[in-house]
Amino acid sequence: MFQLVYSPEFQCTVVPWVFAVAIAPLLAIKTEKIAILAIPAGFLAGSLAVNGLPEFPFVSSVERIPIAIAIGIALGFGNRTTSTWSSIIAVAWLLAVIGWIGWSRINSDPWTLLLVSGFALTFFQYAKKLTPRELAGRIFLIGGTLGAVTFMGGSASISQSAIVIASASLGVIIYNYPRNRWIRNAPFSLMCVVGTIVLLFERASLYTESSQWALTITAAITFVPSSFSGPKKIFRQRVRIPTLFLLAALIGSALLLAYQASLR
Amino acid sequence: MLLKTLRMLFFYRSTKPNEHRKSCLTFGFLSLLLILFSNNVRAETYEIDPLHSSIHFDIDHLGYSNLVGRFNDFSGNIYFDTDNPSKASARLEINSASVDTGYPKRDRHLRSPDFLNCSEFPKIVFETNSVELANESDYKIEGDLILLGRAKSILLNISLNKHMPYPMPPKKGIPTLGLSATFNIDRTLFGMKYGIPNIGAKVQVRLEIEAHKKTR
Repeated sequence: MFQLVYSPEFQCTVVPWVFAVAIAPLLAIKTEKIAILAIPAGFLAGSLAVNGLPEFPFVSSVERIPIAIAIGIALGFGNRTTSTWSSIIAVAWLLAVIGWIGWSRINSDPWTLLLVSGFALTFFQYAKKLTPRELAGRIFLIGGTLGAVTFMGGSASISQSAIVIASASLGVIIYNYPRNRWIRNAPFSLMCVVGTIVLLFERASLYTESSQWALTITAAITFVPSSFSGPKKIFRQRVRIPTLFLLAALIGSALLLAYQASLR
Repeated sequence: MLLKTLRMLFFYRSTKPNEHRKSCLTFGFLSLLLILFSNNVRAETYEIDPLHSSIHFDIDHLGYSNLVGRFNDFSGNIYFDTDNPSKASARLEINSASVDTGYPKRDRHLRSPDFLNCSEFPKIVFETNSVELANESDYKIEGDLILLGRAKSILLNISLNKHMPYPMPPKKGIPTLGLSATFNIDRTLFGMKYGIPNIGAKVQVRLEIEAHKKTR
């Protein structure tokens, strides 16, 4: 049992998955708009199992990410409205934590921080239109790919954290299968989900030797549409094959680039 | 002469501007002499010779073996007073990205945020706070180790192996110190918690230092 608790596979997969599956219905009791917070909550549980409790003062990005996510979850739980102000506060929180994590590189690498901020805001806008299952599905794919890319880039803890997010999002997918149990997400909860994955991208990009191109291609998975309308005429039904091809091409090229960079 | 200079500086109002300038120069020169002949001048600066020094570490790997690694890039100075060794002090700076375990992929992992987090914290610094002579050639040193942005006090026992003029060119005749030290640190105290307990918390560090007196 002791060995199981300390095994990285258990910490990265079972802990966040069970946590997300258990907490999503509990959050939905309060209001379904914040049930998506099960993803960052699962991430937090898995991340603490992998890296341990962060100690004050929080001097490194390793310690700052769980703190930023914990604050995000608390704010998301407290702020359940869908007003414009809620969105503005959520954006301010995300930009503040991106700055906090990348503070030591703010002078030497400002463009990466700007790109990460841009990606976060675009992802947030795009995520508003997605159903919970679509959003969790994207995070599952991004988390899995990011896990493989950062593993080859030399950071096992970021890789494990990305797998943790993928497992937590799998919990939300299962909870929303076969039909979505809610449609709208509160902006702050949504921003917290986006923030969880974006902060990992930021950490991988700024502090590891991972291929920047592989990370960019992994981020592009976010914007792959769920389906294309074109082939519908040919197959006389809604076909998702081109989406799968596009996803396979993106994931494959990200992995190839990461592998190539790891050989240097 | 000193009194005369002080009087000139503070109380005397000369009508000749050059006289005031001259007195200032004399005062500066006298101050410099005072500093040079004070007790502190006995402490001499020794610069660590990286070619003949090494910093090794051992860490438990899954209980099977101890992984041995080293840092290849470091520098530092030792301020050593032969008459009063307890007034000695030292500062050592290690480039954390120079970690070398003989396997590049593992070194990349060690440089990542999981362990040394070299992008965020490029330097590991050790500074002494107090030095105590334990016996003829052994010293007990207390100092601050700054690792991953956290400063923690550590204790180490240092052996002064040799303090003699160097016998070989090009440093022939230059006073040289030879030191050896072994100490343990708990990496979790510095926030380095990845891989616990599979990769040990205790890190044994071994220093072998050769330092030559700085020549002007």
